[in-house]
Amino acid sequence: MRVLLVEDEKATAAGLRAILEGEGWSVALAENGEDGLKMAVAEIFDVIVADRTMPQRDGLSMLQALRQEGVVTPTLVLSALGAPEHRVAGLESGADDYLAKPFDAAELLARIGALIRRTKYNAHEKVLIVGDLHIRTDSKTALRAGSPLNLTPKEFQLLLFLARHAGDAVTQRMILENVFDWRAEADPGAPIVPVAISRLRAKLERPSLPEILKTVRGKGYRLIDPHAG
Amino acid sequence: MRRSVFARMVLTVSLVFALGIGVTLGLVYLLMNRQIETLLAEQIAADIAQFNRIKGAQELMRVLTLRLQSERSAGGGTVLLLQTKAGENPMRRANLAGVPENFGNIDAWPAGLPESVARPRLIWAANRRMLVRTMTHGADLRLLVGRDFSAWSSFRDRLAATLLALLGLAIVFAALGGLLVSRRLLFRLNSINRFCAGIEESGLGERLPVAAQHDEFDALCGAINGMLDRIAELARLNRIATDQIAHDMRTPLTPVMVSLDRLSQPDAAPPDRDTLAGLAEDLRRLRGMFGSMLELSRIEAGGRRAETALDLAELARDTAEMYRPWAETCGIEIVEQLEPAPMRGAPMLLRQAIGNLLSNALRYQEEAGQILLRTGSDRGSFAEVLDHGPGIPTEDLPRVTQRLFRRAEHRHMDGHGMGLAFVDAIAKAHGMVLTLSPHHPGADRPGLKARLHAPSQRPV
Repeated sequence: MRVLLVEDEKATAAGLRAILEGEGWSVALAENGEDGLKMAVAEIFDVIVADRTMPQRDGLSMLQALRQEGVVTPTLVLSALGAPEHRVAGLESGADDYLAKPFDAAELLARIGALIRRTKYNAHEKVLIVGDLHIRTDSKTALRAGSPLNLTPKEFQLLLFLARHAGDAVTQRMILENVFDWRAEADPGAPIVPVAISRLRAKLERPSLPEILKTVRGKGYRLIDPHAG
Repeated sequence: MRRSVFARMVLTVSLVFALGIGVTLGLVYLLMNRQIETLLAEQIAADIAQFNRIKGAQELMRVLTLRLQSERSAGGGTVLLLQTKAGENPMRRANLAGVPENFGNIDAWPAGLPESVARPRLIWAANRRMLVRTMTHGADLRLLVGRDFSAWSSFRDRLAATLLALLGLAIVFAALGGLLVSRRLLFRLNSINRFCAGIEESGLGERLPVAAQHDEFDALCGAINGMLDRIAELARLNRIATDQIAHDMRTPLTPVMVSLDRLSQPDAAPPDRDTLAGLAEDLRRLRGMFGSMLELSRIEAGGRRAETALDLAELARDTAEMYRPWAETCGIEIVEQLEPAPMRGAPMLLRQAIGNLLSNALRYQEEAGQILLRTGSDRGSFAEVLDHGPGIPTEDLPRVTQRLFRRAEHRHMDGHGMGLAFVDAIAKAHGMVLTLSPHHPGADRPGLKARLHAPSQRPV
């Protein structure tokens, strides 16, 4: 996978490059928004990771220009400006996701994973299948190995979110934002996600069936197809 | 820039003032003229009436001769001309020698003037402006009776001169007045300006003097002073918060630094994975605290926030749904007593406030039981969370809403001690009041009743 990293701070760029290359991805570095724009237009990347504040065209302006050029490469904007209004401004200028600095490597990788995944799944899909798990989005029901799961609406949303990112780890922060419409900063330390996951797990897992909802230490949670790959 | 405002003000004020005076004086002049005309017309009418009463041409000529003589000697501006309808001196019919060509004091009957003009007419004849009427007398005589303005012209000229002088004086006064008004306004404006410019040097302690005139400038000074008070208060709070943050950050930073120093000693063993993970965890905690600080500042700063009509009951229901699984793992039941509680506000923030209160109750209750979540309307909408925990000692009540405050025995818990600070800030941002009181006063475990109340003017 090819990642375009647009970051002016050398130390941060080196750290990010190490993290991304650690995943076996190839990284091209642009040191300002202007170069980033040229490279993103000239070459094809799977994902763009761009800093927000940079000299010579900031990340958001670069992104707007890119989108005007018709380049739809999924883009993650990184920024020290983390307030909700900054996030909204980022998403409005064409970012697909927005991550406040400083962040965990796991959080960054999970979000990039989700971005790539997002371009692959169809939001209007009626049935999602992960291994022996069938999720019907129209009737909001789920079946494990053919037998229906008795889920609350929130549990269903959580399962759907995990299923849409099946195979990838999703972080607690991502679950809070996307399933609970809640920010991690709003009540730090409240075990909302772990408890919700353990509830879901209790309904999802059977002793007779392979485990499909895994905890990824230090990263988050992952729904897997035990027979895949 | 400043000069041009000054000049513009003086010029505008003077111009408007002068224009007003000019128009007034012009009107005075016109009215005066009009008055003179009326006066002359009346005199002419009196003459005409007198001449009409005279019977016989001889008698008329005698009266007219007397009038012409007195006119020649005294000069009253009367204009007379008696002619036959053919335009001749009627005396000439007698063929007397030495009879002047005209019977009257103008040379000729003005061209185009009819023989009988009942309304006084303004004409220019014999190099004089005059008001005239004409009449016929007997079968073949016509008479012109008029008054010229010569007697009035000097008066009129003097009047015009006086009015012009007055106008000039008025303009001078207008300019002076404009200058004075502008100077006075600008003086006060400039003093405010100088004060504001000086704030950078003098700090936030100085205040503008407010004169007791209760005018707009005093209002402006008052507003600026009020603003400075708020800025000073914010700066003070900011300083306190910064000090506090510095202090609170130092505590968790110290072990990290000690560990790193030990690891970087020349004789130190290479760090193992667990040590590094522990350090990362410490730093993550620090980041979390920073995040909470930012969060609190964000709430306190207010700023752009979409307020909508909402019902606290619905927000409470959503939030309880989110916290209930956690509560159940603690053996605690969240009991809802939700009555409609409409108000305007930011739903995300109010959910957060309710969540923080629930979170607090769950953390401190420490034993199985119930937590009561209530909403409703009682002289304003309210939401409250009641627990059966240890409550808050009275002496700590004022401090629990401060950032990072945690009672010593609770420092081991999750979270950053920001919960009630968040709730308090959110309440303030909505004009709500956060009241903390014992749920069962006097009991062994008094519990806590945390109540968010919007004063009655807030509900929609």
